[in-house]
Amino acid sequence: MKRRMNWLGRAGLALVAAGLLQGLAAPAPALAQSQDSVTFGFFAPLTGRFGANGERFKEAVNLFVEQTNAAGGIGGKPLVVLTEDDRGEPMQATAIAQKFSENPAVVAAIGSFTSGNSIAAGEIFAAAGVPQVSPSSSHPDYTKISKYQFRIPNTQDTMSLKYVSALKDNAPHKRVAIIYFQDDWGIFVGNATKAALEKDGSEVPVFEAMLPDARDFRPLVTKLRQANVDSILLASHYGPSATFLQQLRQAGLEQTVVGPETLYNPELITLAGDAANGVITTTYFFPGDPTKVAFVDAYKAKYGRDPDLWAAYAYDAIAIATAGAKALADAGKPVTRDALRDAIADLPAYDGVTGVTKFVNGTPAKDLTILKIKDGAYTLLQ
Amino acid sequence: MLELFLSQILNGVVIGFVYALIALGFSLVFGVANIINFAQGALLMLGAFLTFTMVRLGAPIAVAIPLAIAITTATGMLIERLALRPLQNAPYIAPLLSTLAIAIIFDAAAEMIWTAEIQSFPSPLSKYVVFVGSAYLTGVDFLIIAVSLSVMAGLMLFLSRSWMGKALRATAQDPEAATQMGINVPLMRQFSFGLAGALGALAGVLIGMYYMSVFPQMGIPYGLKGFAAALLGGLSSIPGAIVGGILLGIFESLASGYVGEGWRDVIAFSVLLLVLIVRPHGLFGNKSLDALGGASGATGGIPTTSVVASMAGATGRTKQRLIEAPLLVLLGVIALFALLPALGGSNYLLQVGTQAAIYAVLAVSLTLLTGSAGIISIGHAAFFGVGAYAAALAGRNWGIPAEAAFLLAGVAAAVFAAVLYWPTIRLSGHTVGLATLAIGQIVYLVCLNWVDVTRGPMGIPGVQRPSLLLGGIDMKSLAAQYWQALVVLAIAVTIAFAMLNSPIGRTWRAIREDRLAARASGVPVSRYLTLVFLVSGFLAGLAGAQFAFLQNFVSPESFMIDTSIVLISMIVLGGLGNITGALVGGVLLALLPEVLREFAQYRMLAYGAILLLLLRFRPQGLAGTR
Repeated sequence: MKRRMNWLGRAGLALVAAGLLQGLAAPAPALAQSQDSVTFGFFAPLTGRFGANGERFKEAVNLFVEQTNAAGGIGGKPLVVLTEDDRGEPMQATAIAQKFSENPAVVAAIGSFTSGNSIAAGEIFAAAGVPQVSPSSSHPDYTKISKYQFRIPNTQDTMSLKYVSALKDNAPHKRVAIIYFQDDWGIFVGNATKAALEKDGSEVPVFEAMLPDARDFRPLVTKLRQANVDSILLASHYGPSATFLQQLRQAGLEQTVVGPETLYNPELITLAGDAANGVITTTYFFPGDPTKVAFVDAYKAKYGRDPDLWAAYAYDAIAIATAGAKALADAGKPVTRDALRDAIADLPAYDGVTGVTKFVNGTPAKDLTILKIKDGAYTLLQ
Repeated sequence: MLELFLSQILNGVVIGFVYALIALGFSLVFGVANIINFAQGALLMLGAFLTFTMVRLGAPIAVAIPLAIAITTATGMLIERLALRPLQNAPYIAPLLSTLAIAIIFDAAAEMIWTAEIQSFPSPLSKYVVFVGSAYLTGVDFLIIAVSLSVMAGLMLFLSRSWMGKALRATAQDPEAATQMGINVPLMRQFSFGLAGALGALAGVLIGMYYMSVFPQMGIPYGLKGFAAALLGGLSSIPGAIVGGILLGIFESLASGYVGEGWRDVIAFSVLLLVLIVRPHGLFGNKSLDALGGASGATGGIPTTSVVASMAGATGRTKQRLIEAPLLVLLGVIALFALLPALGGSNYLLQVGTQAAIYAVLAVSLTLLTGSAGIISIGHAAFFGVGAYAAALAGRNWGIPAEAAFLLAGVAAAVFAAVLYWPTIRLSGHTVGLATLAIGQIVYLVCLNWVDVTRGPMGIPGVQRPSLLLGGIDMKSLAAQYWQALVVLAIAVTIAFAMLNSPIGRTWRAIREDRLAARASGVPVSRYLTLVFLVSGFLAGLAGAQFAFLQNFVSPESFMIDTSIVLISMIVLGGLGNITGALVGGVLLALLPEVLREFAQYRMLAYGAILLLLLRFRPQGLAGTR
């Protein structure tokens, strides 16, 4: 009996394997195969640690699809979006990228949230010639993959200089503490802002990372108190930042906190309460901005709350890909992957909800809005 | 300076009491049921979120908390009844995985119910603040300290004075004898899970107040810290849990204060490892039962330390049919799969197929270590990661051919495995599982933090697929990578097969079944275990190199604890120590998320449910345990 597999077992195994392959090889939905529509693939972490960000992406994408199709689609063809969840795992992202790449109907990909997943998937999109627009990846390496990569935000190096100038314009900066989140984005911003501050004569006595799951910042706060800093540059996401701000203010430290656009999220105020007051952040998008009222109202009507920056990023990402497709349709050309890539690259300056996007090698150079939290609400500072 | 030091100690004590409360839940269940309850973190999250929901619906917090604790207690008892009691005669490792499956299900369900977002939690006491040196205490801190101390005192009184408590301890010591004395042992186990649920909920509520926020993924990080604290204290000891928690808090706080915030967890886990090397039973643990092969040996079955023997002493192997294909059949099946590109397999299929092959190599590697030699390894992703980084860095810096890159990755991972797992030789039972978990976490955190070498979370992009030295064949295409992965798999299967069917494999199994007897028969146990670390590490390293070449990008998030958990599920699903089983389990679980992709958000839920049902109805695995 041992060491031997009977024919039944073997046949069973073969059947299971065959069944699985069958399941994997199942053809994409008929609609996606037809050329009667323009199809984009959208992928983001819809569950897991970054699930909240991915959900905002998805909401904005769905809103955009609805609006576009209600307004007649792209040259008369409906816009179809295939949605996949990459859970923030690179292995999932590459499998999804292959899936999109070999679906002939998919002419562009929108995603992902983290630069890591965007890069992992980007290698495959580059090989398959699928234009990829990432709503939020600001890692400098991302657009270096190939000419098929585009992004909505500026690169982190440009941004870091802007954070530093926001800090210098609005807070004392002889001794600055830099606290950064331990991910690709945080490390880059941490190092770049440190270099910029030190170059201009500021001291950086505290330079510390925040680990992804850390929530206890009292040792760090104790350190900050001892270091006697004038202001704090907080390059982290809103969740841990809210906890950090609470612990900072509980300890009675009143230094000005300046942070990048990640701190621009109404949830920060809900979570941190009074501790959030006085925080200065930068952003590409602010719903109080009267020029963005159409997007804000439509989003609010559909989802019952104000859109955040992530929703705005994704909205612009799919809007720009769609604008490229529309330009092709208007010129009477078929919407193919390569044509769409060129169309996106050649788009005139696109005035979207995150500002004006004009690609140079896949990356825009946008201006930032500076906000300050006053009495539990974001207000325009500049 | 002294003030700073003392302030940091105080910071550590406060968070330490939070860890202590989580650790108490682990200790209780481990003491009574001899099970490491991975679902403890999920219970903690459940308690916190139930309170959050009730408060949001308008209930006063004083009503919401007891109600949440009551519901979580009932949930804990239900988990025991549904997911653990049926596994009494299953392999020793099955209940561990069953609680893991529960944790996955709870996490996924919580994300669906409450969304993945962080939510604010009511915390009326945190506005009272007292300053002590450069640190401070809030009303919540005093509440946490008071609750932890009174829970500990209450538990100790309960366990030593009440009839129920004595019955619990009797169950912990010798379930068989306790049954004969008229104690309802299953009820006692259920009761301990209920208590653990109550403690978990209490800890969850206090954590929610401490951070003034809750989030659905909170179970895993706090669960891990609770584990570490319990292990430090000695697992089944109540005062040990408290002391372990506080010590862990202090280590962390000092690490954060003097080394850097980013390194606090690395240092916390390293200290844990150090304690385990010096004092394997933790600070307060006792080893009285271990000579008999742990608590399972004391139940009256054959004394054994085996991970595949059941709680009742029956070895799972005695009454099962083993499906184990001969080497030629296995290689033949792999060769059949090699036809896929020729049959017009799409790129997506090849990508997924290569990933499945990588997982299959990892499963084979792990089944040698955990299945055959009985070292429960919940940190296997570490060696996978070492291999991937070695291959990526070598490719980037030296541009060596594929064969050399594979060899280098394998050797690097083998060396890491032998060195890092060396302390586990002296540990036994589930403690090994926890130590390897800590090792896995350390390697992940080092990859994340050692930016100079690994580029940290930025990862290593643009990893090139090297050509073969042999004939200079270009391996850039996906089909070539797929074939390369199959060749690696064939090599791994051949090595594993040769070893398992030689006297070496028999010796490994002998060590797994009864280390003491093996030793007494003259087997040089540590030499054989070192050998299995080396071989298993080498194979994991090969898988890592193939991963780096497939993905063209290596970053730490691929080597998190989740990957280790998936790997261990694979080998249990297939059948421990069984190569055919490892291959079947590896391929099935690698493909499952892809097949379930259509159901996007239900995927993790289904994944947990499948694992749970398999453990329930076929705990020896699909192909049987060897």
